[in-house]
Amino acid sequence: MNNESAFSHLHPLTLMLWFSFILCATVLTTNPAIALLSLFAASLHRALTVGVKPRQVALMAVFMLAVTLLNPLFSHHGVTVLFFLGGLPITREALLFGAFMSVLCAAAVLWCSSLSLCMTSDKVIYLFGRPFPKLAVLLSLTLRLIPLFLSEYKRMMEVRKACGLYDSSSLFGRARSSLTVFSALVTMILEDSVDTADSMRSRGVELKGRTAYSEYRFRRGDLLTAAVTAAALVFVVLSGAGGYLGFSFYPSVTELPLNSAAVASYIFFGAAALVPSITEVSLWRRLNLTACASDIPTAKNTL
Amino acid sequence: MCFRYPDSEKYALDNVTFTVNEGELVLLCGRSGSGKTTLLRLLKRRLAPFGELSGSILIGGKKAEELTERTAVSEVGCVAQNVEAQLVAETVWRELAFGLESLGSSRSEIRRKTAEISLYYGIEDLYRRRISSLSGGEKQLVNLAAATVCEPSLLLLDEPTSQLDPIASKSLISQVMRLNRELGVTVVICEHRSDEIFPYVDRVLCLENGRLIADAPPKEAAGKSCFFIGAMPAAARVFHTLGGSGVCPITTAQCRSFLSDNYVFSNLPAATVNKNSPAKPAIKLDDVFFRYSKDSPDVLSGLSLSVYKGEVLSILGGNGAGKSTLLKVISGVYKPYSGKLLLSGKNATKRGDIRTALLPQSPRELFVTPTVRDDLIEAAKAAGAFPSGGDVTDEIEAVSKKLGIAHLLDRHPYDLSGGEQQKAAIAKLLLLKPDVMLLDEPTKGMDLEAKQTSAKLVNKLKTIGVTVVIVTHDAQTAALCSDRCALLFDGAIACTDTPGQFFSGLSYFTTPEAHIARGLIPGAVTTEAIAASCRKK
Amino acid sequence: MTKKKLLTELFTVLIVIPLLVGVGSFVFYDRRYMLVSAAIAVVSCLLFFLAFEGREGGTKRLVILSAMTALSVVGRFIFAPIPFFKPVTAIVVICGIHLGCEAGFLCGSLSAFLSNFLFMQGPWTPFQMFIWGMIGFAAGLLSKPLQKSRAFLILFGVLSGVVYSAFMDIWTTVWFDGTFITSRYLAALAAALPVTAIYAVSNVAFLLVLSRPVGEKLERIRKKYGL
Ligand SMILES: Nc1ncnc2c1ncn2[C@@H]1O[C@H](COP(=O)(O)OP(=O)(O)OP(=O)(O)O)[C@@H](O)[C@H]1O
Ligand SMILES: Nc1ncnc2c1ncn2[C@@H]1O[C@H](COP(=O)(O)OP(=O)(O)OP(=O)(O)O)[C@@H](O)[C@H]1O
Ligand SMILES: [Mg+2]
Ligand SMILES: [Mg+2]
Repeated sequence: MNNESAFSHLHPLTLMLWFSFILCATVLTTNPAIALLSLFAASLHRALTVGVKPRQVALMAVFMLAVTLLNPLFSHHGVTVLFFLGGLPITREALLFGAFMSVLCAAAVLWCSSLSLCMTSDKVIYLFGRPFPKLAVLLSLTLRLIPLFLSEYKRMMEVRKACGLYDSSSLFGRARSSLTVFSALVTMILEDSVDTADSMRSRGVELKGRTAYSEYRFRRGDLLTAAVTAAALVFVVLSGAGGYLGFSFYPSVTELPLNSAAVASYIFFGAAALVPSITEVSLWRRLNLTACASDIPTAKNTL
Repeated sequence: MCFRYPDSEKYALDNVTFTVNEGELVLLCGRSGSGKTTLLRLLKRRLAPFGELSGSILIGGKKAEELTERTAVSEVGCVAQNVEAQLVAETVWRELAFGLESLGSSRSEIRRKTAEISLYYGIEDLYRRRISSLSGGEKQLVNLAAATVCEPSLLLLDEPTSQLDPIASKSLISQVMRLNRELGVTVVICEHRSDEIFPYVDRVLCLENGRLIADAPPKEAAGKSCFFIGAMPAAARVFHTLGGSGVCPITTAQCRSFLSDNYVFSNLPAATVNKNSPAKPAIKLDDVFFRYSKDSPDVLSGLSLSVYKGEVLSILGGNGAGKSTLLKVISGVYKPYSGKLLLSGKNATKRGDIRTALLPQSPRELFVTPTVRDDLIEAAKAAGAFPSGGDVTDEIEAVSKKLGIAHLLDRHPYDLSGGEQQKAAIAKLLLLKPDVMLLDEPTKGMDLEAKQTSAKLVNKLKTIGVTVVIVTHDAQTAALCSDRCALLFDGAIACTDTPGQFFSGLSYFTTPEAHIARGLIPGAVTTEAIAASCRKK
Repeated sequence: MTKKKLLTELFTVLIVIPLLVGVGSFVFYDRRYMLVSAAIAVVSCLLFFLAFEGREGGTKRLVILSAMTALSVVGRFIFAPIPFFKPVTAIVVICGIHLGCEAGFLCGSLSAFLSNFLFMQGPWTPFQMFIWGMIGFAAGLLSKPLQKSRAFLILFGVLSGVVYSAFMDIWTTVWFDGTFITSRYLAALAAALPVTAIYAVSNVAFLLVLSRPVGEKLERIRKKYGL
């Protein structure tokens, strides 16, 4: 993956805190402002890291439209009936709720894709490695074996093709060839696993008091991000619990709360949600600046 | 010390007694299957094979089984034969830290030691890489680094250079020697290609059928006639083949002076040029370009090569030069993006009746069933020449007799030794009735005798009109069995010639015999050739 | 597996999880099935991880478990061109049968987690982890009859396909608006019928093809190396 993200340079704990906050808030909120903010921030981050791909945007739009339109077909709550479809009422509230849900779904999916971009396997192992050192070993080994098996499978397949033992005449033939090789792969894997286990044991995996080494350090950026996230968390939870963020679609759509607590929550939530994008942009700016800075002296020298 | 595997009556190790002093560099040699691996594994707790052991092993004055688990882990480092299966982590840094983590080292200690070891081996660039993206040689180096990071006082190495080209294996061996000289680590190393290291070790141990038949400094060991000749350096082999007397030479220089002092040389008969070579090339590649993906570099760039019918061609080249890729291009698995591939003059896309068979770098990849017999049946059926069941069995019996694996037919392919697997794989390929046989490192990890047997086998193939292309790192194999040799470099063939000319013209990718014969006997690149042209003064 | 361990795990499955559902729906006033179900999925995975951590020794088992997990991820990848026809469930079941409940659960949940890195990580990940884990767990519980009777194995394959599909549909429905609407659930079930059928067929096919060889291979290794 070459879509490296500046945000992913943060400490895994910070990332975990931030992503759990954003995902929980996104999934649990009933407030359209928060949902929209979240979608906006998620799209922005994705655009900054992966870039805008027309096909994906179109797919997302279709998905959101489908969710919006499907909800009123199943849900007939709400007081404002738009029209009847097969004797069942289609309501404005249900339609709006569908739109709201589509925003939430899209935001959650986008955040999850950012999550898998930033939370590399190394970080996952680090996070699990603290409480579960053995699980960390298991994860690390599995992650090593996956590409190994894939290339092994590919090679076995190639050998069969090279020897003319691969039946590509029909789908059935192809499936059978795949299965034969897959089964042979299982043999090879199980056989080698004994050597691997020996190697692990001889290097003391069974000793008591295993430590989990990592290369991560908690830096200033982590502190900043964590602070913003914590503040947003406090505000959103407190105003939510106090009912200042209340919003409901049924029986009829209420007004968007704009009291001071709610506004503060929006601001803090927005700030927290934009942290990844800000990190991204500021990194690029800094990189550009250093590039310029190295240009300037040479320009001066020539003058 | 005696040792026996569970289901066998024979002792894999029989009354083996020896001492290795602190700080020594010891070479363990012997025929394939003589028990080298078994012996090394017994020295390392947790790698010791399952079976019946009598006698005792003392490490640092203490009985091996009385060592604490912790010392057993930290004091003895081991690099075993199976490179791939030994790596247990996803990235290089995690692999290096693995042993230290087990020992419960602190973060800063792990940081310091992994940093230092990467610098020592010059693998800083690999530190953050994924293991899956490393080449075979790099993997072997990482294995060595991971074994030494716990600062063991005893290091056991089992054929650490089996996957490496001559240059890379030289540098790995020199790393090992450095470790021994500079840090005083006791090293026991087991190697088939012993030319580089033999003169420099403190002692040589030789196993034969599980018995220790030699335990002496290299000079003396090489002089013993009972010593397994395949494990000797070329200098000593030449000496013994000529039936020389006096002090046995073990280095190239010693051997050269031994030869020029005692012998006169006649010229070799000119190599017989393949009669039908100008006729029809069985394989013809014309300006072939190949790369794995759009944004990766070319692996083959403008490669042209002709192989004639009934010829044996060896291709040599460094690690990652693209030798295996070339074989797969010839076999039609990969399609070149430019250039032409003709098999018997026909365009490769409509190859029709031209059959290719590929022996992969690890022959295990060829077996898909639980017994050797089933695999052979699969191949025989695929060849399609035997409609009725009875014929298949006959054919299989015939081929397996020819290769000497008739007694192994009902075994599981994975239970065979490396050499036996190779033979079974070749049997399977033969049953496919190929016109072109592509062999990828067929002699990897074999001793000299096994190599000679393989060479005979290849020559037999030639007589039945099969065209053979061999890819190998091992100059000896190429010198023994090929009609022509080619060097693959920078995506193209750098030179082709008869083995004699080819190896005399190269200084590094060549047999040690060629070094010895340089300037004395032009074109002699094997022990036999040297012996044939020497006459006593 | 010792009896005590089994009991603790059964306790986890049969008591802790329903308790969580109860408390969750009480506290969140059944508005947020989503949160409750996510919590269940996450907590049950954590509990199993904890149990795995407490288990001593058994590096060879660990490696085999790891290999099986990697295999199911690779299988999901290899068979990606054929939609919904995947060996994952079958391998998880085999792992459960031969290595026990706990290993079955871990194999299932980690396969889901790791393979979603290659496919797509989403809000559904914890649920997939949970359901595949539970299928592996169940296979571990029923390991004896599953090994003995082929018919039962087939039945189990079909059932696990249906259960997987049905469960993921619950997730789809609940996720949709945080409440469970029966009509919507039924609609989702009906819509997923062909997919469910493919799941069931692929499970049975892979189980039939793989279960005996894998069993034999594990047995072989056990004999050869004294597992
Ligand atoms: N697991 C095993 N069970 C039974 N016999 C075995 C086992 N492993 C090795 N042997 C036998 O023990 C003998 C010594 O084998 P070992 O692997 O030590 O040989 P080696 O000298 O290392 O050979 P090579 O050079 O090919 O690696 C052989 O005859 C082999 O067949
Ligand atoms: N499946 C693959 N996908 C992408 N790149 C590959 C693949 N296989 C090999 N390569 C690359 O192609 C180059 C040539 O590889 P190849 O395996 O042909 O080398 P080789 O000469 O056989 O080396 P060795 O002596 O180590 O076997 C290497 O740089 C390697 O990294
Ligand atoms: Mg060996
Ligand atoms: Mg190769």
